[in-house]
Amino acid sequence: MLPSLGFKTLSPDRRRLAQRIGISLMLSLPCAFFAFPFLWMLFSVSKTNLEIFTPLKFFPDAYSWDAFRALLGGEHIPFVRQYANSLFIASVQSVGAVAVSATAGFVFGRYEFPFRRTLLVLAVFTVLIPRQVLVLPLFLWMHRLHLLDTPFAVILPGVVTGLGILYFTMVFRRVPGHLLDAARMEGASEYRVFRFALPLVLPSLLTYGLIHFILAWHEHIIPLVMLNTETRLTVPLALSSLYGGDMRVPYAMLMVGSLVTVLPTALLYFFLRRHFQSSLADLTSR
Amino acid sequence: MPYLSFRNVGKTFAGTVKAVNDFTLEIGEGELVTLVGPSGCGKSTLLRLTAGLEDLTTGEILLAGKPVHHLPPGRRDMAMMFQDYALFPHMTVEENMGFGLRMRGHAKREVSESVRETAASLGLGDLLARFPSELSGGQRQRTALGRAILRRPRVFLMDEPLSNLDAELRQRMRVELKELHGRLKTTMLFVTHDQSEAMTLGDRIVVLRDGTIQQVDTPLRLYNKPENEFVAGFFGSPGMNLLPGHVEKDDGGLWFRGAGFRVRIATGEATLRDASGAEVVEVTLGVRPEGFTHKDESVTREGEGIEGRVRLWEQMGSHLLLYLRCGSAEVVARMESGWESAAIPHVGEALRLSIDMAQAHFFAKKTGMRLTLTTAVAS
Repeated sequence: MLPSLGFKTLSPDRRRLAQRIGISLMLSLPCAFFAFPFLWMLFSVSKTNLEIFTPLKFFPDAYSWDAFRALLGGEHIPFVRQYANSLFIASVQSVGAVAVSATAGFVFGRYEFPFRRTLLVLAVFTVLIPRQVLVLPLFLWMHRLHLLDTPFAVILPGVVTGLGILYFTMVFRRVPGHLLDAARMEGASEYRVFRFALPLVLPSLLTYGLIHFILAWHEHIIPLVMLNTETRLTVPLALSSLYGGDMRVPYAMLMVGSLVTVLPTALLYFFLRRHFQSSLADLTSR
Repeated sequence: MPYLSFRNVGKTFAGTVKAVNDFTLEIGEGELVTLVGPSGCGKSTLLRLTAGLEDLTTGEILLAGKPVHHLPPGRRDMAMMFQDYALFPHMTVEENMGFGLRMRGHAKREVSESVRETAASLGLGDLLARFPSELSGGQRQRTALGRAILRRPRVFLMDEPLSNLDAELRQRMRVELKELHGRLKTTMLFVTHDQSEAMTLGDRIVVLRDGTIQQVDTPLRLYNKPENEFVAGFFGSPGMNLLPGHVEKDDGGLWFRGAGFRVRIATGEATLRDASGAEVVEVTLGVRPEGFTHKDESVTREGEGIEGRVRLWEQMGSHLLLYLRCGSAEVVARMESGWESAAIPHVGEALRLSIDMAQAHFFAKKTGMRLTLTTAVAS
């Protein structure tokens, strides 16, 4: 008689269930690894400085909203204003970067013209130059343009990106040429053909916009050089200004700042994740 | 008066690859001309040149007497149907069909009315709100057709629009296209690699090979009087049998000697001459499958036919196709009647077929060009 227990004798339904439980257990380990700092941050918003620096203390002794009130109330820094600065800079820069990169990518991807390849290589080459090298010349430019200490000193350098141009060159190369030809035959001008092609690459536009928003949101070095006045700073600069080694600043407030900082990118990803995934799948499937 | 004219049109890609070579053609208003040739012969390039999707390297294209080759595609007043229809995936049937009129600034209401009218005539009335991905192959085809005819262009350009359909639907759409052309009377340039499509649709056929015109003629003349070996072999299914050999004068007549057989071309003084009038000896004999007849062996005298061994036969219902090996050559013969199943020869059996010399064609072996038989007038 066959043994009644054992994996091989399970019904297919139960075997599938066992497999799923096994896979879930395996995946929960890396999940916990990545979630731990986030949860630690979440519980630390109610901790005192002493509790924060106590090793292996995960939960606070008491829960309170004091750190929220302190940060959003502007006790130490004008955080709400700085948050708005960051939102403005990251949003305008993302829209600008998508517009410029998509336009340039369409031209590089769909037209033949002299020195096309050379120009594309040059554009891509800018990716290889570290930001730190460009900071000084950018600073001098912004100084000449009288834009220092304004949001545009941070926005403009990020609007043109070699990576964006390369990405959209690839994206537009994948658009079937006969669709664009059909639009031309129906009387569309080249500008209308470009506008016509945009909905065809919508997932890529959103994906690039989202990635650029995240990069712009976390950008540190350019705002550090270009911005001075406290009310004009961005969130990363504002938060780093709180890390002064000054124990009088409640670290719980920093945790609140970090939590609130994660929000826009998390929300954006949540709402755009379907497009984001389809764009990535599109890139990998061809 | 020619409506659409091509004058010495040439297209060279990357400076060296000649896709279209010195193409000159005149098409009358309302004429349906099919461009046919094997893949890579330049027929699609020629259509794209006409549409304005490619720039000419040399020559000019005129529409109603005016040069149009410098105009962008949208200003040539031509419509094009693409092989895979090129329907805009993010637009509904209605938006797809009305796209051209919208681009030309027509009022929304006017566009909507025109779309509804055309859609109804094409049997798409109930599908206007659907997206292309929700349509069958035939419906997509009709939508693309609707988009092309909606704005009443001066010329229709069709780039193998039937090639993605199954055999039955293709046959049906072919008839519909022909009827549509009869109704609209719009000049149409239709590209296909399918010779039967070219034969059934075209008022005239242009045969292309390596970017050069091989022959421009009516379907029947192309079939019955091919200008060269290429055209002869391209049309007909199965194609023409092309048997290499040479001509010789003997026994008071002109004979063709092939691999293992000899047939009389003409009696008396006769020669095969090319277009320049020069006599040609090394020739290729072309016989269509229906150019053979089978007679009782005692009736078929020497010099009237060829003998071969049956390799295979195919019963097609209305006729029988016989595949024979005659020496080193392969021959396909079409037998119309008198082939009751008992009479069908066995594989390997020897068979003698006579050739109807009135239906035979001769081509110069060297140039592939058609030769004419000239008989000397007795003085």
